[in-house]
Amino acid sequence: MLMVSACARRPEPLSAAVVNDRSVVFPGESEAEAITVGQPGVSYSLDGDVLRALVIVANDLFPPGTRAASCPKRMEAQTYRVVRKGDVIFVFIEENLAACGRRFPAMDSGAKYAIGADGRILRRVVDGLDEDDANWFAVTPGDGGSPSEADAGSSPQRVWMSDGGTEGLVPGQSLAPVVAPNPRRSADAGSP
Amino acid sequence: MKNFGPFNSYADALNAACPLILSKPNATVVHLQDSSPDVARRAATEYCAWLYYTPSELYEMSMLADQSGPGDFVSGMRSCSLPPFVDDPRYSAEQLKHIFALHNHPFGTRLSANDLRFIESMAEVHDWEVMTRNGKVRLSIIAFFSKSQDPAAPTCDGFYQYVPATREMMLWTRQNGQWKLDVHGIVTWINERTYRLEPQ
Ligand SMILES: [Zn+2]
Repeated sequence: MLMVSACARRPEPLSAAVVNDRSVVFPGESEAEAITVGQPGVSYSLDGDVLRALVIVANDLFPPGTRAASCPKRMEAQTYRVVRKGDVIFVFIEENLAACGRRFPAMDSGAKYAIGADGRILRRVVDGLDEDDANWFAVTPGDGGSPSEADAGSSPQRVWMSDGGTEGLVPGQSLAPVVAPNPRRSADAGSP
Repeated sequence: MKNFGPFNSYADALNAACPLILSKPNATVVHLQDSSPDVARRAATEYCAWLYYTPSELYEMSMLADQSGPGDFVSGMRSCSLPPFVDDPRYSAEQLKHIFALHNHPFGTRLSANDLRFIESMAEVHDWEVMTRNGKVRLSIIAFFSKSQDPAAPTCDGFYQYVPATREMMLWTRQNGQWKLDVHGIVTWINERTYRLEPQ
């Protein structure tokens, strides 16, 4: 019986085969409200492809036999939204604040997966790890949402001198006019 | 936090916070990205903290919240839970002005849609704009990154910043001690999880 290992092997959380095809485009929100599965007294049926996609995603994020120490990092503390488009099943994972009694989300608390008909992970975007190509500069439809940073990256070239120079910009400085009213302030204004 | 500042300007505070956060274990893993991407994913660690302004008119940084305890590494999620209020025993919570929600992106990726949602949700408890000795400063979220291939000496190479009051997204880069604004755009939401930038 082999018991000892000099370096305890950490379970591999992300060991599934990943194709990582950056041309896969995630669909937007559907117009219809998502149906919440699991309400008391109602029965639902889930086909095998959908279940398999969910299992693949869950195993990839939360390896079987492991349990994160803190509540928000656990499988049961997420919401899973499933959208099927053609052969591909898309799964969107978000933190379920109520599950851990939290009021505010964490940074980088989402993920999304595209699972192919053969059960492979066609695309995986975990917040904080993977670039989400859909976010960033507006692009022409159908090109997969790849960024075109060259277009916009060239515009501002003002430089701030760290040796005390006052010309130009200060890092962290906001430059644009306020467009969004502070929800906190407007709430205050409404109360006596 | 001990051994940090305090600083007279938020720019100086950012200058100090960036290399400090990136020097934490596995705060940047770009040096492993090509040679061992799976190791890089598992090791990648996010740290987060508030940069805040005190009644003494100084900028300070809160304790770093680790993305997770040691028992959280099993999870594939890489979120960082930043408490909404800084706990500074010298002051009451209302006296502190929360300015920048700081964290790192171990692969240098852009701000996630959830990063934007996080800072927008902070508007429920914090002002979007506060007056400081440096003038008005707006609440924003910042993700530092390094491009360093040397894990022993990670450089601060820049950060992404989003300002909810103006919906500005910025990419600041740092070279030879100089900061440059590389990208400046206004965010529009395509759907709940996708944002786009309109170049300014
Ligand atoms: Zn982030």
